[in-house]
Amino acid sequence: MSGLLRVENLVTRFYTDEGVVKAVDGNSFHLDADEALGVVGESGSGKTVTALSIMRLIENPGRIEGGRILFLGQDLLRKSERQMRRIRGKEISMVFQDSLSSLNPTLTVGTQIVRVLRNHLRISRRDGWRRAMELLAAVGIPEPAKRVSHYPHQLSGGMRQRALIAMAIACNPKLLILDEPTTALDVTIEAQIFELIGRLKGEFGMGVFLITHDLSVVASFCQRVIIMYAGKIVEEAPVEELYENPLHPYTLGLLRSIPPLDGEAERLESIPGEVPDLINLPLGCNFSPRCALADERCWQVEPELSEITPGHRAACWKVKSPAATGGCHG
Amino acid sequence: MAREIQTGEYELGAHRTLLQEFWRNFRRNKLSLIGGVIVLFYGFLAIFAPLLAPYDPIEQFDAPPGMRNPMPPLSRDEDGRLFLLGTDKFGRDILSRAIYGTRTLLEVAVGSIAVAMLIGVTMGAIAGYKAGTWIDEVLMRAVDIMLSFPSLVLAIALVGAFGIGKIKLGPITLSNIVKIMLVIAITYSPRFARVMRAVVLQEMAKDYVSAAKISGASSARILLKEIFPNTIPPIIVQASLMMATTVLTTSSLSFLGLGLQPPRPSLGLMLNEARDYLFWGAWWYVVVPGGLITLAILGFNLLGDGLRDALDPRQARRRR
Repeated sequence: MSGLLRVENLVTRFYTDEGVVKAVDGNSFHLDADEALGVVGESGSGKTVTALSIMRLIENPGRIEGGRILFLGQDLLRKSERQMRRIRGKEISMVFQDSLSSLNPTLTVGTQIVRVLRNHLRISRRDGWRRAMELLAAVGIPEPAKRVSHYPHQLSGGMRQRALIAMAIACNPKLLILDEPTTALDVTIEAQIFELIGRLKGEFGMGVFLITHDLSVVASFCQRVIIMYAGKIVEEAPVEELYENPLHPYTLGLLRSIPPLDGEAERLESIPGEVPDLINLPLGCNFSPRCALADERCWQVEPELSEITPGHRAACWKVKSPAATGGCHG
Repeated sequence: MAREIQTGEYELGAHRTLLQEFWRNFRRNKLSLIGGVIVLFYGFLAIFAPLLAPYDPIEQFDAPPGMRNPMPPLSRDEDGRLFLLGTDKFGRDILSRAIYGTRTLLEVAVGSIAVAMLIGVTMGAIAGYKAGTWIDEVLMRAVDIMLSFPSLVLAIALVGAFGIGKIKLGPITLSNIVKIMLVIAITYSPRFARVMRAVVLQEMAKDYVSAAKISGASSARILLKEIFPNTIPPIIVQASLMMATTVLTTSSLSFLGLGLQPPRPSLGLMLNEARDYLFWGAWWYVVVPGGLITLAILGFNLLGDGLRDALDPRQARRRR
């Protein structure tokens, strides 16, 4: 299978004074062009570290320890820093959640967009400014000719986030990573922004890697979902499949913790316990200390991510596939 | 075409807004305005010294019969020349010497702060950007060693090492005033290095630096074009506060006879000469240079405090 991005057995660890943090622990997934992949998990589950690993921006004391990151068939982990610089911002782009701190407070929005453009394209300053205005118009900022010379603090939160997206898509990247892009925004702006990204995705055939902890956003925007827990992928499925037929107990817990749309006033459930310490992970399944179904095997042996039905993978001993129960490992 | 012209206009407009914002914050604090006025007054004195000083600062006048130098304020000599602030022990006009002395003092202070900033900011930027590496360790331990000396002691030691008066360093001859600037610059550069390193570290943790990396910018580019503009406000604040300290150190060196050499007019040197006449009732001799030094320090400190309040981007933005 070709695909836009193919990550195989990615391992990223942080060597802190307290011990080794297994932030991303042997994950594999893929993403096609014109596809939106949602990555859902609690804070500290390794979503952002996965994204930064793809960008090769893991900094000391962190290290990418193993695996391959194939982008258009080429392993990003084998690229030199120089080559990576040419890929970042041009082929792969990223948008952070905090739009105020992601923009340089001392530079106008236009200057910052022009810089990205001129990092990668042979373009004159004058054309860069014109393009910056076009981009701001494209992301739905009113009066782009005026906004282009505004400083970040002069824009509203929604506009800043749009400006960041304009910066990220300036060079028509093939892969756009969004790290909780709408957490700080209100719901109407959030809807507008996703509509915009969806349109751009269709127009340019962009792959979108969407990090979020909001399952409703995933439901409306993504084609496939990955659920991460304590550095590992625990479940992966097409969106409808995940909502209709969640397999992993953690996914079930997540789905039960959001209120149903039909408004039945049931009490929302929370998942008991806490995310495990990534330095001292449990021996068996990472979720076993919080799992109601866990038994001796779950505590002792780690389950592997295996395909239960086509396109639907889960890492749990308790999941029974309709065909062969549990697979061939154990 | 119309679009492009518009862009230019708006850009200017936005810059003015930043300045206006600064001015609005600065104006709010009356004390810092006073500081600004004092500093402007000194700048005016220094720049227009030749026009303001009534006499040549080293010309000696004879006291009229029945009087002796130093003469008190408002005395006149035989030709009817008025000495507004009196004369010194050699019959030189104190007002003229004070004005020229202010000029020299500011020359030395501004020059040495500029050099100290250049050295310190470079060191601090490198150390901050390479934080945790051996480069950072070497630079910052050097800074620690220099800061472990009281600054005046370090300055005296450096003057001792260089020698008094003008000096020769291989083929280059440094005039005395340039040498003093260098000595003070070396003494105070570690403070700029520390501030700069801290600011760079603080800025590097911000998302816009990651965003710049994500957009494919190189390290040098990020440091110079993204981080540097954000370090200017704290460095300006530090510079204006250090101006006060430098005025004091320059005057102290001159007072001790290690700084500017006679007959060059210098406020520190005037104080030293005035010492002998203090108990003879020649109060004007000591009050004029002493007062000018004190007022300068006060002015720079008030201005620095005001700038700190007005330029701190977080506070300024929050107040909007």
